Order: sequence, then C-alpha cells, then structure tokens
Amino acid sequence: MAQSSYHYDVIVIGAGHAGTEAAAAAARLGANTALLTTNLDTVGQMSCNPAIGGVAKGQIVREVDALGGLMGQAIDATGIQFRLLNCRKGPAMHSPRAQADKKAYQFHIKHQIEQQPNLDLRQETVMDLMTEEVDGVTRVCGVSVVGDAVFLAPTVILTTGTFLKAIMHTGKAQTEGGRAGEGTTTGISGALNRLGFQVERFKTGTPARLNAKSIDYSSLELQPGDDTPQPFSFLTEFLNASDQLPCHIAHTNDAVHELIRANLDRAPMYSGQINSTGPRYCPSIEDKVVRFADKNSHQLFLEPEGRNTNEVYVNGISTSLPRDVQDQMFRMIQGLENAQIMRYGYAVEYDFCPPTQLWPHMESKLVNGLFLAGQINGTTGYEEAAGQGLIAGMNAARKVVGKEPWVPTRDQAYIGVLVDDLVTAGTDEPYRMFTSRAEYRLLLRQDNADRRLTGAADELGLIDATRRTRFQAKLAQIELAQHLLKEARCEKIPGDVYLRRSEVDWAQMCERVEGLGQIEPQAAQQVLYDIKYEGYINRQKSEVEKQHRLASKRIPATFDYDRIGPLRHEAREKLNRVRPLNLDQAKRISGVTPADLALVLTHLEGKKKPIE
Amino acid sequence: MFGAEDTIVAIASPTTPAIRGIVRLSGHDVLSILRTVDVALPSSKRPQVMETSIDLGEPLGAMETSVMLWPTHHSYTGQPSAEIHSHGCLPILQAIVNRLTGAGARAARPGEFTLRAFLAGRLDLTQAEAVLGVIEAEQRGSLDHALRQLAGNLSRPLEQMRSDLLNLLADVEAGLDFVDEDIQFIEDSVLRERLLATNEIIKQTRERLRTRASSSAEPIIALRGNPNAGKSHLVNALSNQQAAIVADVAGTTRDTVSVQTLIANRLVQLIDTAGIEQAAEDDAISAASQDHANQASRSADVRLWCVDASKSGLAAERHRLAPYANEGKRSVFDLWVATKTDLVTNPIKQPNTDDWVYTSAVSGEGIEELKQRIDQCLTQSDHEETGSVIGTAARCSQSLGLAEQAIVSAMELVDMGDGHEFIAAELRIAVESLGEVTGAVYTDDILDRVFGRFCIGK
Repeated sequence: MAQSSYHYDVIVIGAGHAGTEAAAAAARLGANTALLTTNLDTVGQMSCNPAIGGVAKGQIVREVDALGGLMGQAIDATGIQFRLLNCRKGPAMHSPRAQADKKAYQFHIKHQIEQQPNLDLRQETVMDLMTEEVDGVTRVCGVSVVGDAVFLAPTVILTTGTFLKAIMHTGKAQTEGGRAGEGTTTGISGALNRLGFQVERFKTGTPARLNAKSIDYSSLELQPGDDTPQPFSFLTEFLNASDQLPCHIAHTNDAVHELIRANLDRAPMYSGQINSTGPRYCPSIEDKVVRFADKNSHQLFLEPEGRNTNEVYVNGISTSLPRDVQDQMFRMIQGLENAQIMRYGYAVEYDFCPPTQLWPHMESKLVNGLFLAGQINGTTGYEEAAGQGLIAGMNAARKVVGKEPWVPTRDQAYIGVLVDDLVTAGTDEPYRMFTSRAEYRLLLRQDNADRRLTGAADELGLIDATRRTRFQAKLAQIELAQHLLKEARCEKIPGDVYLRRSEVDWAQMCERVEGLGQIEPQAAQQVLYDIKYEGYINRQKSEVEKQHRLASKRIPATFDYDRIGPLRHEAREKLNRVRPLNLDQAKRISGVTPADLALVLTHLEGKKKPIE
Repeated sequence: MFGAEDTIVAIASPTTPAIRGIVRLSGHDVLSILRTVDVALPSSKRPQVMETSIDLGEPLGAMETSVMLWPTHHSYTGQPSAEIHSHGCLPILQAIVNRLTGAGARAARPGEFTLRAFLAGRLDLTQAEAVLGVIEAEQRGSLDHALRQLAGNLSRPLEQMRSDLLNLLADVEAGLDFVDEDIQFIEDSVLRERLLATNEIIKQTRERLRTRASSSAEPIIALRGNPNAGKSHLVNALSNQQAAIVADVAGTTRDTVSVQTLIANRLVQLIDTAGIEQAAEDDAISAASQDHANQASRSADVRLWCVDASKSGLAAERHRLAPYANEGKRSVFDLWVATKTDLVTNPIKQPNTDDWVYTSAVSGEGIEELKQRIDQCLTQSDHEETGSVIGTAARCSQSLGLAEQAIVSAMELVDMGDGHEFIAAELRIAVESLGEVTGAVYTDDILDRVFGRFCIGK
C-alpha cells in the first residue's frame, strides 16, 4: 500500500505540447485533472525549432484555438516574428507561421496551466501504470510515482514524447535521454510492453545552436516578418509589427557536402548505429547530401531563439555527425565562418506505439481508459501534438461522465484528418501534416477555423463566455453582410451574384452597397471567400455528403470479421486490426476493396430474412 | 459504391449471341432516365411490360424493345427498376447501356444488383455472400484481363496516364506545401504542356474504347505453329468459311487473319497467325508478320499450337515450340493440335498421357472434338468475363470522361492564372477517376513522389 494516494478524474503524464493541451481541455470540461511532469521547468518546452505554425501546421494551431486550446494565444503573446506563408496563393493555402521566444512561450503555457481551475500541475516521476481486470476487460486505474505515492483515476493520458527508451547520438557518443540534458522514461516503456502494446522505433534529429555574436549577419540574406502581422488566436486583436526580430538565410556549398561525404562513416545513421526510420521531409544534412547528390547547395534558416538569448537555431542542418565535423562544417559556410556552437546537433531514437492501436478519440483499444497523444503516436511537430492532446483530453473528460466520444471529421478539421490518418493507416515515418493530406483542403482554411469548430466547441463546453460572445458577434456580422449583398442591386443583378465576377472586389462593393463598409474585416473576408470560391466549395461539399452517407453505416466495435466466410485474408487481417467505426473509415484502409466492403455491409444488415 | 440512390445499369443477359438480350436498370431515377430516352411511361404504379422503342442515335437509330418496368420499390432490388429486352446482340445492348449512362445512370460495379437485392431483403445472407465472394475472387484476376481484352492493352496506357497525372499532381502539391524551399517545382507553361499531352492520350483512349469495345469483346483464339502447319486450313474448318488464303506454299499467311465464328454457340474470334520462323534480316515484311503474330498470341484466351502430323515428330516439335507458349496472359489455355492426320498412314496416337487433339481439315476428323475442347477452356477460364468486359468498358468510358473534364478545367485555370490549389483539386478528380478503373488508391502516392524527387525540408 502506498503511503500517499491522490484521486483524480484524469491524469496526464507529460507536460509538452500534447500534455498541456490535454490537461487544459479536460479541466475546462470540469474534470478533476492532474498533470504530472518529471520537471516543472520544462512545461510547454519547444524541444526543437523555435517556431509555431507553417503550411498545414498553422491551420492546426488555428483549429486548436477555435476549440479553446492554449497554443494560439501563447504564440501570439510570445512570438518575435510573424509571417503569413503562401499569401500569394488562394485563401486555402494561407498559413500562419511565427518565430517564438522559446522561454517566454513555455513560461506562458506553464502560467496558463497553473491558473486553470480543476487542474493540478505536479512534478512527479511516473514509475508504472496501474490496471485492473473488470469482466475480462483491462482498465487503467492510475499510476504509481517515485516517492511511494499513487495517483488514481479512471482515465490516464500518456504524452511522453520522445522519452520512451530514448537514446541521443552525436557521432559515436551515445547518451540516454529524450532531450539534451534530460533523462528517459523506462517505467512506462515497461508497462506498455507488459500490457501488450506493439512498440516500434523512430528517429529524429536536431541541428546545432550558434551564438549570435559570432555570426556575420551582414553577408546573409535577411528574412523579416510581415508588415501587418496576423495573429493565430481568434481572440487576439492586434500584434505589434515593429517589435519583430528578423531571421536570416545562409547556404551550404560543395565544400561542406564534400566534408560530410568524407565523414559519413562517422554518422550514426550511416555507420549502422541507428537503423530506425526518420522523416523524409526534415532530413538530416547527411541524408540530403547522399540522397540529392546533384544539389550543390541547401538553404539554412538562422532563427533567433528569443529576445533575451543569443542562441540561434540553424534550421536545415540537423545532424548526428560528431562534434569536430559540426565545427568544421560551419567554418565553410559564408557568414558562419567564425560561428561558435553553443549546443551540438544530435539524433534521437525513441519508442512509439503504432497509432492503429487507438480509437479515433485517442483511447487505446487494449486498455480501457488509457489514452495516448503526441509524439508517442509516431507524429512529429508541436502542432500535431497539441491537436491530439486536445482530442485526448476532451474525450477522457467525456468518458469520465459517460459521454460518447467526439472527434472532428475529415471535412471539418485538419485535426480530423490527423487522427483519422493515424488510427486508420498508421504511419511508417514520423507523421507530419501537409495540406495535401486533406482531401477537402479548400474547406479547411485557416481563416474559417472558428466557423468550422467554435460552434461545436461551445456545445462540448470547451470555450468560455468571451470566445462565445466574440464568435456570435462575428456570425451576426457575416449574416448581415450576406443580407446586404443579397438585397442590393448592382447593374440590375443581386450584389452577391455581382461579387462573383473576378474583376469585382470588396472595396468596390462597399461603394455600391450601403452599410457594407461597416462590416468587420474578419467577417467581410468570410463573406467574400464564400462567394468567390462558391463553385469549389459546393463541389467539395457534395463529396463530403457522399462520405457522410458512408460514415452513417456504423460498424459495432465488437463486430466479428471472422464470421464473414469469403472475406479475403488481407482484408480480414486489416479490418481486425483497425476495427473501423464505420464504412467510410473502412474504405480508407489500404488493401480493403469495394467488394470487401460490400461483404461487410451485407453482414451489418445481416439479420434480414429473404422475402418469400 | 454504396450510394444506393444512384441509378445503375448493366447488361444482365449472357453476352453470347441470342434472340433476346436484357439490360437492367435500378435506382431512384429509373423513371426519369427512361423518360429522357423517350420511353413513354404509363401512370400506373403496377409492374408492367411495354412495347416501345429507344433512340440509340446514329447509326442504329430507334430500336424496338420491350421494357419491363417496376415503378416502385416492389422489385428485386427494392427500388424502381426496369429491364429493357432487345436483340441479344452485343453492340446493340452496349449502345443501350451507353444511351442510359448518357441519360444519368451509372455503370454498375460487380455485384451491385445483388447487394441492392440483399439490402432490400430479397436475398438471404448466404446467397448474397456467395455472389459477392465470387465477385471478389474474380475482380483482381479478371479486371486486368478485361482491360487488356477491351482495347488492346488498355490497362497499361491507363496506368501510365495515372502515373503521369500523379507526378504532375505531386509537383503542384509540392509547390503548395513546401513554400519555403528554394525549388522551382513546376512552371505554368510546363504544367499546361503536360496537361495538354495527357488530355490527348485520354481522348485517344476514349476513341479506341468506343471503336474497339464491341469488336474485341469476344474471346480470342489464336492459331500458332510452323509455316505450313495447316493453321489456315484449320481456321476454315472451324469457321466453315474460306477466310484465310490457303496455299500449299509455306508462309502464305503473312498477316494475321481474323474470323468471327460460333463455337459451341459462343461467338469467338479466330486469329490465324503467320507461321513461327526466324525472320531473315532483310525481310521487313516477315518481321512485321512475326510481331503481329506474337501480339495476337499474347492477347489470346486459347492458343492452338498446330503441328503437321505428317512431317515431324510431335513430341520434338512440342519441345521446340514450348518457349513461345510461355508468353501471354496468365489465364491463357494452350491446346496442342496435330494437323493433316489424313496424310498419316501409321497410327500415331499414344495411349495414356496423350493430350493432343488429332485433326484433319480435309476429312473433318477431330474438328468437333477440337471445338468441344475450346469450349471447355472458355467455360473454365472466364465465361463471365465477356460480361465483365462490357461492364468495364462502360465504367472506363465514364471515368475517362470525368478525367477529361477535370483536365480541361485545370487547363482553363492555368490560362486564367488561378491558384494551384484549384488545379490540384481538378487533378485529384482526374487521378481518382482513373484510379477507379484500375482499382488503385492514390493518397499516399503523392507524398511518396514528392519526397522521392525533391530534397524537402529545412
């Protein structure tokens, strides 16, 4: 019997980007929540690059915000440079990205967590997961921690990031740990093995950090922030443009590539020291040099890590090469000849649990009440982690009070695409969001995240009165503008029809339609996009409808695929593993054919008797 | 495939020549579709038979048909249904299907009528399962076969086209997702050029599909063997006509000669090929004949390997020809035929392991047996396949139409200088349409292609 025990509704293990959103979401829904971290000084820490957002990722941050999450407001408060990427393309491609003051960001998150009602933030080291068998079902019931204490709860959310059996590599030097200067989490790895979870290994890398005083910025290309910075949060009204810090761009060259090639045998990835799978889109510099041998230069982005530090993150040169090679590399790059390395780059190998072991609401199929979110599911990126954390936290809280899970659909949010991809297809490299993963990209825009999600969030109980009032006011403005346009006549045709013309813009309409000029810019933008892209939006909506019809054919969790005699072996095996919730999800499992689905459908409706 | 509201259409009768043929139609829009093709509909809700005509356009014109109509859900599929009874002639039945898809029906996928009947409670589970299970087993093997048969290797150009479009889409997507990379993914002028090229291929393929779907729908029987092995005589004997030029000079048949004929009440295409020989280096005509012959051999369903029984040792000849028999479809059947037995005086039949068919075009010996053997082969291999070819033809044509439309829209978008995300949306439709024919999925492909070709990532 442990000396101390504490009772909660929801326990979250790990206070990174997934854990903090999970804990905050659960607490907002009224669940009595504990957030346990091995180190209170690293809550909300940005382990890798000092940036939030980017193409597809920025859309996720907007969605997290629309659902009442933390990330959007935190980056607005602590960003040091804001850019709207892709702004020369259409609105579906606009993606916000910001450089963060790393320390300020994590303190902001920590402070939000500390202030959140129903939420206790504690420094604890979890030793083991506690489970019990009830009617043949394994349920989680709490965790034991160092210091002879237990935390008891019917739901536990694991957000342990890269800390499961983590090993860092710099050249031949190996250190146990998931992040420079920190340890690894062995107790939880043991528990997952014991409970029967399938575990696989991924790797990822991080580049060196340089001291700004040793960089010759005069010879580098400048990359400033936008003149009119756009906030991430729907609640942030204004960002100060003059406050921003610039980034800079440097380039590798043939000499650098030659050096890397000459030292490949000392890179753990190539010497065989690491043989797990890494991401293809964020390759290490040694990877780039080998795989794209014909390219003689790669871009490097120098990103300041904050206002009160000289550390500069060198985006584009993540590496596990030994120290002396890293030193030499920078000496050959224009502008970085005298650069001093403050932290060396390293590769980290870690365990993750293939996410096909989860239901879409992030609860594991093996252990009732145990949720997994973030990098433990094989994803990469703060934003992907935050999105999953929010879904896991919200659904853990709903489970405690006996409510059905809620998950956004693929046509509703990138977060919906994210969780569906993970649990339906799994991932064989660290999963990152891209807009090309979203078949309804034209509907999932960063500008309409609130219209897609805030209404649902309100019904779920995730948002506060301020957000509700702001949102309703915006909807009212949109309706008013639509009404004004419909009633107005321009050259004898209704204003909303007239506005469809490609040569007509909003400013012209404001001159023609009385009252339109007073519409808030955010609302005006929505009305404009709705009308300008009506054709595409409608077409995607009709595809969505088809998908929903298929999704309405639900498959019970206990459905027995072995009962279907003629089902092919491959289909049976995959359906058994994924256990899709409906025919729409089943359709997306690779290797499951329409005829397989027809067989499943006949069995779903299988009680019918033939009519004589 | 479960949009049970869609109205589906397919040929429901065997596709062999017969007095009657049936096209079946089921779905909510059956009545309005029939109205579109000028079938006068009665107001009664009862099932009934109507003598009417359907306008099939040039060159067939209006065709007399009888339509059996179930105007309400009291039907086999539990929804408004109709059967159009016409001549049991493939091109006509196909024309009817085409007319109906043009009027808004969708070509049915394998098993769809069965599925609907099951969902309506007209079949029990085991019955439905049996039908669908058979379809599943057939789908993979026969789709490829069906496509090949359909338009002389249609599946390869389709796959190629889809692959080209995927590369194009990958380039466009890369430009959208990887905005910070210093890579020029694709220029508008190149994009336009590649779209135009793809569109040309789609147009050509549709044209081939239209002209060849009907003629190549019947099983192909190719005759192979040495020059002057008696292949042409055999063709004439099997078809009772003087189709091939027959002469006693070896190598008379320089082109492949094709004859349509009935074997055991089944319409087949007999292809008489040039004799297998090493083409002399300077003999271009002979080389071309050999190419033709090989092509026919590869697309055949049954091959008759003919050996002159009066000349060579059968076993030795078979050994020599065997390498040629390794080419072709997986499901091809090979029959070994000894010819000109009338010229042989000594009995040559070997007991037990003898699977040769001994024939004489002169005396007629063995011709009936050969027909039976051919019939057995076709029955075993794919007696349903002709049906699947027709179905595939209709679906192909529809999907290609969608793809073409999407590519034209994409080209317009390029010309207007509109956003690449919209072009990507059109390309996705095109890729998906083609993927529906070949049974491929594409979502993962795009990223795979991007990462395979570009160095992405900070």
